Amino acid sequence: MNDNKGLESILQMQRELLARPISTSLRSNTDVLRQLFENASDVVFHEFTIRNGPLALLVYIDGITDTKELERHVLAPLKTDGTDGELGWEAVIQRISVSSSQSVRTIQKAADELGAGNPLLLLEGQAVGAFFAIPFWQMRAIEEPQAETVVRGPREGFIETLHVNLSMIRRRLQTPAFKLKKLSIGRYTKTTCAIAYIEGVTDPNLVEEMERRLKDIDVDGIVDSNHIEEWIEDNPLSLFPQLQATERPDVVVSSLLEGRIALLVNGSPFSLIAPVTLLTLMQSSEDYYERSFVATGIRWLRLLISFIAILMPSIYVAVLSFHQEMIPTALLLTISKSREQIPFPALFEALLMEVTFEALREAGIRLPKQVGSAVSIVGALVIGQAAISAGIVSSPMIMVVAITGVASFLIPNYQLGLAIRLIRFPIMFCAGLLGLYGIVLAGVFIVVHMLSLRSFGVPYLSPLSPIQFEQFKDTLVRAPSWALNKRPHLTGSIWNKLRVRPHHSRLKKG
Amino acid sequence: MEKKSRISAAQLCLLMYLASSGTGLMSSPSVAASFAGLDMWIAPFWGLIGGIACLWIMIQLHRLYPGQNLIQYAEAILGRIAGKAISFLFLFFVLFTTGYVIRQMTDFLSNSFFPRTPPLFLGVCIVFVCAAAVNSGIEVICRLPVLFFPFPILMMVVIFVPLFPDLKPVLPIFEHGILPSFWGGCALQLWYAVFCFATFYIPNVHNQDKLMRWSMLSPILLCLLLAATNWSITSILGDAASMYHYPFLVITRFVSFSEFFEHLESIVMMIWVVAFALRIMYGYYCAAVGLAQWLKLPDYRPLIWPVGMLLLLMSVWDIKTTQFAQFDSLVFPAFYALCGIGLPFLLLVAAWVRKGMTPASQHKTSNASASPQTQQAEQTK
Amino acid sequence: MSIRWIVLITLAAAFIFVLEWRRIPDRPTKAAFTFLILAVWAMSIAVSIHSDLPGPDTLIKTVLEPFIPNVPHQ
Repeated sequence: MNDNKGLESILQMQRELLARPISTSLRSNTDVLRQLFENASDVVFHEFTIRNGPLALLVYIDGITDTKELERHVLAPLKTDGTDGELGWEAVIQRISVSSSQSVRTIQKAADELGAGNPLLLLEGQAVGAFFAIPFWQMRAIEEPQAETVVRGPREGFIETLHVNLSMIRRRLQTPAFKLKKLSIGRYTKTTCAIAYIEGVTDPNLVEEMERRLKDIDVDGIVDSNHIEEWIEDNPLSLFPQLQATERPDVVVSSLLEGRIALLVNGSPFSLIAPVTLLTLMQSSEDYYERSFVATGIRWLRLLISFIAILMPSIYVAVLSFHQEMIPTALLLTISKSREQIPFPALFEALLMEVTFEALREAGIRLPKQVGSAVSIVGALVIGQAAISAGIVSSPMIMVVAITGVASFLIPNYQLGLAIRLIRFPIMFCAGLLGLYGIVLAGVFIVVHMLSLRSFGVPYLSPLSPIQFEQFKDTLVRAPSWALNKRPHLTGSIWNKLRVRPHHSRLKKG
Repeated sequence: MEKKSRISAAQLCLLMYLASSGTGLMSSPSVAASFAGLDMWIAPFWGLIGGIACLWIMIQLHRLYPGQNLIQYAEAILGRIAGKAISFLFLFFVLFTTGYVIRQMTDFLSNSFFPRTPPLFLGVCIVFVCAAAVNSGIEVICRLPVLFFPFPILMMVVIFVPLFPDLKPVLPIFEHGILPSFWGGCALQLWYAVFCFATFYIPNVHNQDKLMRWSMLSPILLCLLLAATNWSITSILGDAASMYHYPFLVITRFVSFSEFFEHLESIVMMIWVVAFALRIMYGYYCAAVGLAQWLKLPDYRPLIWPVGMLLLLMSVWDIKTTQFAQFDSLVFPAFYALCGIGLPFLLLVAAWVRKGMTPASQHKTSNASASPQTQQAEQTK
Repeated sequence: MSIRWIVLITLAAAFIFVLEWRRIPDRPTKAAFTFLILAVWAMSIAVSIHSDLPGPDTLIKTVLEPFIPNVPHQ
């Protein structure tokens, strides 16, 4: 009871302080700000007198403000040259040589801007303050993204700072049609998000829908783009990702050119792309940087291997438990010889090994880089070998688990890979219960689920599900760039069809 | 009901074809064989008449009452009590056939693949999956066949191409006269009359102008498939065809690729299960929507699970395992034809009488001029 | 054997009822749903106790048999 009252009074005081406007008395402004930022020891209050001018207060948060810039271009002119007796803002702004400054009239806005790293200047006798947009903080260098490496292609990846990420995209889209809409989400984190799109290529309803969904979010804080993704996706209960998370600016730019929109979040190197389909998630940016026939072959390989990643342990369990007549005789003899001493049924063996493999994989993520890969590979081999000699599992099972594990690495999108890894287990249960019949039923169930899934209105299995023959050029095969002359028709209203000038094919002579 | 979902005529055609061909391939050869003997490959052509008639009647009825299915316009045509009775009979037909298909499937799986699993459990599993599909709506049900149809084609190619050298012409034709194949065609109404379920899907088709063409394609394709299958069964198995319950499965056992992929019947089983699932979804949706509209409820979704239980009940009630009751006599084909073709025909005639057009004038004028006439009749009402 | 099926059927019906009943928005549907579940449950129990209970097959046969010509089989 006492704690609640204490909490309530703390929140009440914060609300009351933030609701005040900036008053003309510098003393009262200083008091309010000091009270608000009490115990925030990195906030610096600098009261000074402008030479031949009014009293002033400069507030900034050390560590996120560019203090050099501040001292050289804001304080120095004010302290050395001064305003020659003028007490108003025009003279002060005249002296300051920082180009981006805006006014504040409320304490709330002042506190928001301070938190964003923008120093605040208040004058005696003025009910308006000014802040300068000169944030600066230590950030990571631009490196190659870890999860999306390519052999040929750019090696830049997003970092945690929003304006650096936006600059990476702006460098690649040098057109005024490239628009950015900024929003701030989260009451405590006040995370800046930017919706990026190309006007005239993207459906404006899509942008509106995204903005509407973002404005509906009212939470304490957003730490990573995944939090936002969970709020805005069409079906939050589905295993499958409905937005694509990528660290690569070139992927973002290609998607924007196809008519999609991207959402960049401050503090997260992963940007979100919407709308997205299952086949888009199975594409890698490298497909477009290699030759088209090779890329087509690799796409087919990827599709085949994904099926193996989902179905292989289940098929093994089903065939061994229910449909032994399908195995060729020689193989059947070998398998039964190796399974002779195994006390467990095939389903249990499969579950045991799959869970162990997943555990090793998770453990491998947390180990330090130098030791990690060696330990996980050796561990897998040693554990596998020891398990075989102890007679707990059979060697065909280890083979199956290893192949499945390798296969699941081929899926380019990490979230989709996770979904596929997870979905193997229910399918394995169905296979253990009902053999191939169970696998078929589980498959039909998953397909039915995917058929009713939408990503911002686009059916998840386009272009297979509402068949769009034009799109087969980019999903089932990878046609050369000069043949990909139409944009995908994602949502209804506008469709900017041409992306290659017509009659511009390489196949025509002259 | 809720906002109208949109499916295309081509999707409906594929759905109807795949739904009927799955069960058709499995059990229709033995039915045709028991009535027609060596002429069993001609029987589907006789049966085609029923299929085309059925679809034609349903499309005509939809043109008279656009946007409605049989349950809805039966009351408008025949009055409240008679209309409700007729549509109840139709609903019973839908439930009965779908329940029987579930029974067919669980029998097939239980006898050939899963002898130790209780058949009801197999039925529960597939009804569960189909309930999920029906819950997702008609668009999902109509998109599944589009995703799935390459597989049966692949399967037919894989099975028939190796068998090609063994196929010989089937002689003599009409050894006992025309009648045996005719009775075989009548017996095949067990599959052709089921095209009447289209009445629940037709209101949602958005390209109505192409509907007639696409829907007629469906029974024609089915006829060709059954004829080809029966022909190959007869030429390979000969007189022994009538001894097997699943002649098609017997043929697939003859196929072996280079001694490595033998015993492909499990793969065939997988494809068949999806075809059966499509057939069950096809009927399950009709049953749920029909029941909801018969009870004048706004949405069919809450009724899905009870209807599923009802279907499972129909699959075990009063059907003896050793008795393939539907195939021995013409009673059940007659029931199917009565409910699937006769009942809608009765409604069509009554609707024509009601709307002031006799069947004679209807036959003389073309279909195109019939619609403006009916529209005028509706406006003057 | 029959006790097991009766328990299973009752559990299934109760499960479906409990899950779906609250999600139904309007009264007529609630009533129809309850009636349907009860009817199906009762019929299922009856069928599981008396396996030979005459059902739709017998009904169709008795109604239509007199009208169907006896066709020779091959």
